[in-house]
Amino acid sequence: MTLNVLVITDQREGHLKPSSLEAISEARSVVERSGGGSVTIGLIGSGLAEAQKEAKSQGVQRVLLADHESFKGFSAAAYAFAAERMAAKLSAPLAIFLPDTAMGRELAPRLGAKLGAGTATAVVEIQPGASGGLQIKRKVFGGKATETVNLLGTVVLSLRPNSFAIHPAPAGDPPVEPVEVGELPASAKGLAVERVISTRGDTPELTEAPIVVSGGRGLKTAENFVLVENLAKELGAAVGSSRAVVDAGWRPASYQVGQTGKIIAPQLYIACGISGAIQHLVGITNSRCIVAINKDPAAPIFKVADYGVAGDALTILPALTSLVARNKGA
Amino acid sequence: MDILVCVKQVPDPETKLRVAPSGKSFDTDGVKFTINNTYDEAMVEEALRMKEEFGFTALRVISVGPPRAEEALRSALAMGADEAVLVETPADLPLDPLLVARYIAAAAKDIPHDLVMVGRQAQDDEAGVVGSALGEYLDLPSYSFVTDLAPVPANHLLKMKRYVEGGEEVFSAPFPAVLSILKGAKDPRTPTLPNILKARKKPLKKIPAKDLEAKVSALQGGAKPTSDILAFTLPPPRAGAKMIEFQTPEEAAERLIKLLKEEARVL
Amino acid sequence: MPVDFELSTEQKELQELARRFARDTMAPRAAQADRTGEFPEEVYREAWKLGLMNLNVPTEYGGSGLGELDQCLITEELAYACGGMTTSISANCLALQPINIAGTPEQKERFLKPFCSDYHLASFCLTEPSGGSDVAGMKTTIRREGNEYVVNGEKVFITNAPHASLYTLFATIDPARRHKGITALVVPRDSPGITPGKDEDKLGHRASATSSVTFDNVRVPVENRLGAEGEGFKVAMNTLDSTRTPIGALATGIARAALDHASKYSLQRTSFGKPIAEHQAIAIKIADMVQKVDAARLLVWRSAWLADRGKPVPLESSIAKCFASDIAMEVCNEAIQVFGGYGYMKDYPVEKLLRDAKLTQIYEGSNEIQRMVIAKEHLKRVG
Repeated sequence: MTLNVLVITDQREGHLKPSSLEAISEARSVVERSGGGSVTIGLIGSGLAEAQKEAKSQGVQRVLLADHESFKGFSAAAYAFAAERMAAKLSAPLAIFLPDTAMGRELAPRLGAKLGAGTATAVVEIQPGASGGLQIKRKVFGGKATETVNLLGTVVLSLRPNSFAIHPAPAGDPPVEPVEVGELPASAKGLAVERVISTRGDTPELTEAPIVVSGGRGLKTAENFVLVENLAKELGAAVGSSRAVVDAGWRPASYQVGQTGKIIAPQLYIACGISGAIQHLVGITNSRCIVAINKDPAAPIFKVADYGVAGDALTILPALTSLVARNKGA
Repeated sequence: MDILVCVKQVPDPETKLRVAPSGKSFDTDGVKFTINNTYDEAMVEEALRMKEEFGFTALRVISVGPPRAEEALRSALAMGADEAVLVETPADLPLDPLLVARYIAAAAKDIPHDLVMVGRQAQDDEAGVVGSALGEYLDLPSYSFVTDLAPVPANHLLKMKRYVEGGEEVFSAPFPAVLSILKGAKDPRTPTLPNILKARKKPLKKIPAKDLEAKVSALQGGAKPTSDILAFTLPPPRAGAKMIEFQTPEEAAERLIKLLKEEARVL
Repeated sequence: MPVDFELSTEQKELQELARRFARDTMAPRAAQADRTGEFPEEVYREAWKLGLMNLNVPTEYGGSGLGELDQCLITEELAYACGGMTTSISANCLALQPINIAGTPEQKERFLKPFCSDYHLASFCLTEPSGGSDVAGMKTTIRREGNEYVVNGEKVFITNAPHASLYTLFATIDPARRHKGITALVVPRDSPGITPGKDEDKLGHRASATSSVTFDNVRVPVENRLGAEGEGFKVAMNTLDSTRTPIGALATGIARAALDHASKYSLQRTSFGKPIAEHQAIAIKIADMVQKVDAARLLVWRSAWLADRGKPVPLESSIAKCFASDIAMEVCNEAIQVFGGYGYMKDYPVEKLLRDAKLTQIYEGSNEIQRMVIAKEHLKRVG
């Protein structure tokens, strides 16, 4: 069974995000494991010159381009309309991959609905099915369980960031083919982005970062939260927090990790002064490695952590920060 | 101006998951279902705010599920929703999130809706599919991960913020539309005891799923699910943390970093 | 109607409301209130806001008019988080019940409505220094003077007394007439001559306030009398009949908390290389605790179910209260044993449960009185 994969990338900031590169790399891998086929990148947006160049170097067979003013702000209806036109250029069996970013998570279901496709979000593993289609795995119940799902016919998937490796792309010079999208439907019109408020500082975004350092109530005061940020800076990590920290007003809601905040899956998660309420644990259990630093050795966080330090985060954090800084210097 | 909020009843997050004998789902035997899905509660609260602050008139809630899903609807009524609709599904009806969206779309054809609101995702399957799929089936625009919502009803316009990686977008877009909200402006209210009692008298309409089958079949994808769960598995229990012995904070730091580099290989 | 153990959607919602309140508002403050003996009034105000107080006040006076089973479902959930707070939250039900039972529509309007439109506490004043169970022997007296009664005497162990705005008081117009002299009065707390005593330092239920109240020539208008002179004994007994079963629910809630703590601990704690739950000696304890909690709840539900159908339940409510409070002591005691040395420490939650459980054997009719009633009712039916 061969397979043709269309990867609709996310380049909201002009460049292909790492999560998109992961999706492309996995597409190449799935095609290979399916016994052949093709990978096509679908670029939808406005002002895509840079993204085009990046797409061409991904070792894919084709690049389809819908570069138009009307795609400037992300509208799921408009993008799904364009993606459908792109899909029509490829022959079955067809799978469409998207990164599970805010954009991909919204676009994938809409596209799946449009195509009557087998659809799955936040996918962490993909295998070609024995009798065609794809078999995927996804985490459910806050990472407490895994579903294996069989998708037949045309398939639409969004791939969870940090879950797939980026393998070096083979050389190639795929053609870039503009796609005539035509008149957008009424539901795809009228969305206007006024401005973007960047919260991206020196630290990477929580949901994308390979390392996250989080602080909780155990830090005692808002001022002490700096200790968490110092370590994150040295590690190049994102900064998160427990709900208690947000409730206490130490840091804004965008820091909150957990059921009512962000659900993350970094390679390394370091929880400092966080006891591990269920609502927080739900947000971190997909992390590859969890470190807990907490004074109370009976804190529930130690049950889910891989490594535990039963000590005061206020003294352990500075020691860690200076050690990481020293190692970098060496 | 009418709001339709979609809710789903989910197992209590504190419930201990077991695999069903079929191996394809969790075992519902002995599982306590919560009345409230956290994400849906936030949505109902936001919908109530639309009514209280922006002049929306009616708030209806809909759920697709077995008879027990009535509990989730009653809870939304107790929070302040006006009416409820339950699309009652038999236990053996195969469903996937897209098919649920088709059932809601089919039912919504007879329910006035200027805003259709869904929670960010269900707490159990975490699919987050229903919202934007509903947009497609109802031929409405959809906006997701909304963090701030201020309608301008006179212009049929929504002024919004939404989460994007690395920040927030400030944008405006027309409604009627389907919205999925990442975070509401207020913490969800707890239904008070008198309101729970009053909710008993509010209308709750039950529609057998069978009655909607023809309409569902007419939508792209039809009346059958397009995905099929093969297995539901639980990871082996975590053994608990390897505790690091130390005398001084420096020693703790050194041992931890060594383990992260050499054993876990994450640094 | 056949026996049916399925709760209605609405009952599940009430249970869920109480469970959430217990978990989110009561439980986080329970340990501190227990340690300091403070009166966490903000918790009680929040309970009032959610409608978790005054459960038995009829809807026409602004209350919820809940039946006994509904009250029991709520009480068990609250007590799961803190028995002491539950006692203070439920005290209004006890204190207002005499007005429900014997008040005229005018009195209900006057006394019950303010409790539903604003947060107030009321206290039930029955027990005296010389005894609680021997109600007919009470010594607090009332004397009529024109359109007023003059009250003199002392009541003890009065829940919420220092914080209440209204007392339902039982006193006698003539001690010689024994129970036929007892009369019920509604007494506003701000009447001159009322002095609550010091807040008692108790073994358990420390989040609840308890004190004596002395009445020194307190003048009460005649229109505050509930029922006729001499009818007070019946009013008191009918009141206690209806609040006895919820006490069983309260005890069940404490026992369930002990069972849950012990069960979780037994799965976590290892000895000899396996969780202690896998040692038969511990497993048997857990099994016995499970049976007791389950049986207590069923007895509570039966009594409440019958009462909701208008059946008199002197036997069933005594069985429910007596059994549930006795097993609460046993279960809490075993829970400490499962925890071993840790269970004896105040850093762990189970020793508090034992202290809280103890009171349920004593108050609202000691278990000795309950057993006397049970034997009497049973033997009446035999012979």
